[in-house]
Amino acid sequence: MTALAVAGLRKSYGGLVALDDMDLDVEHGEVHAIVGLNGAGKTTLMGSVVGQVELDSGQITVLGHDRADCGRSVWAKVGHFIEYPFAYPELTVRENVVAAARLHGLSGTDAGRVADTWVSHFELDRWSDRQARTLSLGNTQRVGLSCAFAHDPDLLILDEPTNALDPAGVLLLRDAIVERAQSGTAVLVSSHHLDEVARIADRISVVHAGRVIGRLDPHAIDLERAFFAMLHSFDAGVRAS
Amino acid sequence: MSAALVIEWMKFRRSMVARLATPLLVIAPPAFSLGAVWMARTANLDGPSAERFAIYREGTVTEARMLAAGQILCVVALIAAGFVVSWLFGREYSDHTIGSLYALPVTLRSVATAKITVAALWVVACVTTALGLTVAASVLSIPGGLTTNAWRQVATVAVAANLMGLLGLTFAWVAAATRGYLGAVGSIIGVTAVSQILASIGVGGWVPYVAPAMWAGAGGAEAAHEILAVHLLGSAAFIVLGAFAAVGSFDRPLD
Repeated sequence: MTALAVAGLRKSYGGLVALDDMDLDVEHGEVHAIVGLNGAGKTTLMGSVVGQVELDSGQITVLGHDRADCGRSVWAKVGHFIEYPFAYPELTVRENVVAAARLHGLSGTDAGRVADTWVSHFELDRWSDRQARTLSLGNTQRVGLSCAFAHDPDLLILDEPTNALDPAGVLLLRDAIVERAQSGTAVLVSSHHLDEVARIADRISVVHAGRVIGRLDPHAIDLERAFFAMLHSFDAGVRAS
Repeated sequence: MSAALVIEWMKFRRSMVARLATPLLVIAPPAFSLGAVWMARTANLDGPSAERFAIYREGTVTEARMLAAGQILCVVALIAAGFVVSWLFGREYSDHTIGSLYALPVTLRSVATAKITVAALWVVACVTTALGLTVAASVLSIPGGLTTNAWRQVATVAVAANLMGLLGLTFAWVAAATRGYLGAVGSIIGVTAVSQILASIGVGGWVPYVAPAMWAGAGGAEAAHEILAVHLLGSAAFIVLGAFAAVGSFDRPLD
């Protein structure tokens, strides 16, 4: 079953085209990774799904509902981490996760329970009662990830989630993504790290010039070579036309 | 209580702006009113100071204290509330936390309304406490308590200072519209300066940010009598419009 479907997304900033007829979908229980260079349109795509970006045109369906019609019950099942973490510097690590869970509709008691679970999963226990302002960039990233996972979403949207994470943090994140996908969550994740993506993704789409230009086989030997070959082929085709 | 209100309160009570603005608004006005009247009536003042403090030698001690409290409380409430809402709204953009507030069961409109509610309750609590301290000091220090006229002044200052504080909420719109607190801080300075100029040329009654303060005696007794209910209603309407504009401006895409 399709958890997220986008079709014909277009967005331009003046003369700069960020999304150019973008089509993409993510199935329940699937990790769909999107890879691309800086400025390819990955973050704009994710921002448009959650409403940060106002599209020029296009259709977005979230958990079976037209995006414009999504209400509380739909958004309660969506988790996202796009560019910046949910991490208020004046709140403690645990308070941040509790706040995110409560804003996703959990009661105070349930929010406290899941906060403990995810603070522990991302090995933030030592800093649980410390204000987020005192954390390193990597641990702030872990707080943001805890906030995205805390309410057991059916659709997870993660933009460059391994940014600033140390190798241990990357492993914890990988476990969390795979575990969520195995329990039916649809995961859309962007990354620059092709090796990392290959370890967790069921599908890899290459985003370039605001559109999906092809797919990579997660099990292929040399993803980097295939990635750049696809980009160069696309650019050559554009120049030729 | 809604989740948005709980979380906005949690963030606000931990904030530096709350820790600075609260004592400023609660302690400075009573201290100024008591100190100014004491100086006016006991110190041997000469020159411009004597002229400035002359109004605090008129009427009873309590009446003079209420006049001073009204003058300072109105100004401090406006500026302090302005800074508070500038931070409450602007910080989401400056700290890049705004992105996490999209695609939630709690709408951006609810979050913005919670911010306005927290700020409004804080204004009323601080103004009431500041005025209560001033009244308590007078009740305890003056035999016979407050005169009827003094109580009337207390009521006037309470309404005027709350209106001025709530007028500070309108700067939330600037913070949301300019997506940061610097624009709002600049507008507080600008509005304060322009209001002073308009008040000095005699049209202060028609300036929403001036009318309540004038009514409380900031421009003298004569100017206070010129303020009618319509002027105060204009200020109240401006508060409501500003709050709605802030909520509307917060509830929009980033790009």
